[in-house]
Amino acid sequence: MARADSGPDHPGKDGTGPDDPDLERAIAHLLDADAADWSIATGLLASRPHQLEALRVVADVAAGCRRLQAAATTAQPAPLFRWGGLEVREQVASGASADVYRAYDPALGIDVALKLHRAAPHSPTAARFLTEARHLARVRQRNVVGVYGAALHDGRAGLWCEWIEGRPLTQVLRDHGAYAPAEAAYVGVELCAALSALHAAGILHGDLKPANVLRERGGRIVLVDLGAGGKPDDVNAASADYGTPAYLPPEVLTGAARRPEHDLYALARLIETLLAGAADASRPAAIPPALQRVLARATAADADRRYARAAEMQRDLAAALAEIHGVDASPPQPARRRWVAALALAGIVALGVLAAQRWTTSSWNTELQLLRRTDVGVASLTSGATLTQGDRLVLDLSSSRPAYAYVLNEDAGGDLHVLFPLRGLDLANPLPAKARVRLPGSNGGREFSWEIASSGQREEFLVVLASAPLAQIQRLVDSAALALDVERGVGRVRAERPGGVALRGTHLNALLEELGPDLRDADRVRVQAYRFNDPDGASR
Amino acid sequence: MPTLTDEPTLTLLQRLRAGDTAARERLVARYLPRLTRWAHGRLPTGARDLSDTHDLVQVTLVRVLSHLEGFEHSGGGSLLGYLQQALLNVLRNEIRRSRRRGEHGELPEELAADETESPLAHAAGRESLERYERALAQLTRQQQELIVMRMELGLDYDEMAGEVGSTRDAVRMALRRAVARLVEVMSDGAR
Repeated sequence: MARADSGPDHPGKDGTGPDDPDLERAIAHLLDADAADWSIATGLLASRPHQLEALRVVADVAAGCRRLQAAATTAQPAPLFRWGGLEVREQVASGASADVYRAYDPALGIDVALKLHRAAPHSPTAARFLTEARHLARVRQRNVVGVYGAALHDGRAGLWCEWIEGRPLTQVLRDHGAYAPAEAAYVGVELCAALSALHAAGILHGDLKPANVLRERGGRIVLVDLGAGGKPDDVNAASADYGTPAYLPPEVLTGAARRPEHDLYALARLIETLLAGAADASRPAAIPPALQRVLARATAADADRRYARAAEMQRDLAAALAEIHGVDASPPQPARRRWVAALALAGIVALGVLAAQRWTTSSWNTELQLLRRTDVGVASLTSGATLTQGDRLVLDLSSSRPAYAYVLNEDAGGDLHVLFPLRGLDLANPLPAKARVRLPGSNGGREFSWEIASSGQREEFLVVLASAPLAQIQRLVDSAALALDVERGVGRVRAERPGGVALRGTHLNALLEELGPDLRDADRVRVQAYRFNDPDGASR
Repeated sequence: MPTLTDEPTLTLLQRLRAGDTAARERLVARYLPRLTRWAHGRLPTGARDLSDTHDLVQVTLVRVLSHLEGFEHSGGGSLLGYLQQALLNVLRNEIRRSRRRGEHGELPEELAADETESPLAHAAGRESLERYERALAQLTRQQQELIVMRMELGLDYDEMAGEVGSTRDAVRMALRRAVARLVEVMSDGAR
């Protein structure tokens, strides 16, 4: 199981381990590098900032090691050209004044992002570029892109900084839609930390918006593209109106000088964009009051009423996050993958399609159906149907009497996840009688769904319905990591012939065995299993 | 690259102790790539390049594996942990030596990448790394080994289970506890 009792050969059975479920759960998230979800960890450890901070430090070290191990294993293509000691591999972006490349730093043994300025080497803009880079190199904070150095080589001024494997928030919004309030507040907390560090160094970012914030694989939020920023005097002298109008306070649009606290106004606008799903979308109605208050203050028409310091806004956002986490601890950031559905039934009968499963006895009627969420609603899945990237799944369920539902998932790597019940959603056991409910549930008016995550070989789902709580599963629910916000590889898949499909996951099979006696009574427990296969995967 | 689970470490270790030098070569080949990247991450950037580091690690592994008297698998530690510790001592000497040499680039100080800093300190932040290492040193030997294997060397749970002679679930739980302990030590220090 995801949290099996330790056996007699337990190597760490030394009595020094703490018995701290929240800390261990946060750590479980961290240890699976692909699934690290800081929003959940932040919620779990909201009242213990020292532990959260320590956990972040451990994550930083682990991420640093991972980057170094990965960089050296990747085969490098021949460089396009060399700049200083860097081997420039590919161009990744081209802006008005600079080109951005992916380059390899042989000294560090890792990939770096290289920004080469286009202006003549001794022009004032090149000089300013180097000056800004020098300021930035002094800022070391995990939410600000780490600048390694800046120099003039072969007549081009350039700056190199850490290479971040991730997506800008604009892309995240396009792929997955609007953020849940907890997610958005969490991004706000992280960006406040970034702005605190910049402002302490006397730097104004000047162009904070979703396109300039990356969500690194693993969940770290990183502020990048500091090209518009610098010392406020320099920024004002160069081009005070640089920036994105929607994120600038009204007084700046009418000519006021730029100040660091204007970044906080932009941050509030950024959070609103995350909540709305797009810059031009209207703000959703269901923003929790605590978050609403922070946003209102940060964007007040009267500039004197706004936050003057990032730390102040961070404190209020963290408080809002803790308040939201009281009811919403599980904001899913969907994973994407392409899968083909295959169906398996365990313990009951085998059917060829993922049609609604109906079981009727004299005392208990149930119906459940696994569905794919689409832009316009939901669609049923048939065996062999292709699930494309970005697809989300929900489970419709109805029962003639109150029922306890459990949805579990195991991947080819043997990792077990609890998909339902999830803390923080409005749907909880027991589910109401005689009503159709849609799992996993919703929160704050936003419907949630499951995003399959897999190492690319096999995913199995087990749905268990029971007339009373099942201690065997509840134990897992209490301890297992939430299987949300996971991004892994995309698998090429085909359908497995329906029928004759049995679950292969050891944990799920062990659980079925444990449930054995209960399963004999269809009036007490019912089980349904689904399997998604990657035909190219080794584990079939 | 051979995975760590190809042939049990314990089997190779027994063969090595019985005088089979081919087993030593297998062990060196098994650990060399990971430990080279690990070592390179910890040496000052100006000290050695990757191929230089490779040589240093190879020599160290051969030397340590030729004199295994100090290592007892049944004592609870893993061979990988033992090798990593031996290598760490070698690296400390290297770091001391490169600091004495000093480093001077042509660029103004604030513009040049600091060559006395290691790639890992660059990647993770020097302060974070120091805090992590101080706390790590306070854990039990077994806890340290598990954390290093997973966090620093990037082993998966199956590989770790092979190294410590345990099961996947057991090492996962033990690692979780070890990290919880690490976090406790670090956060106690922060209060």
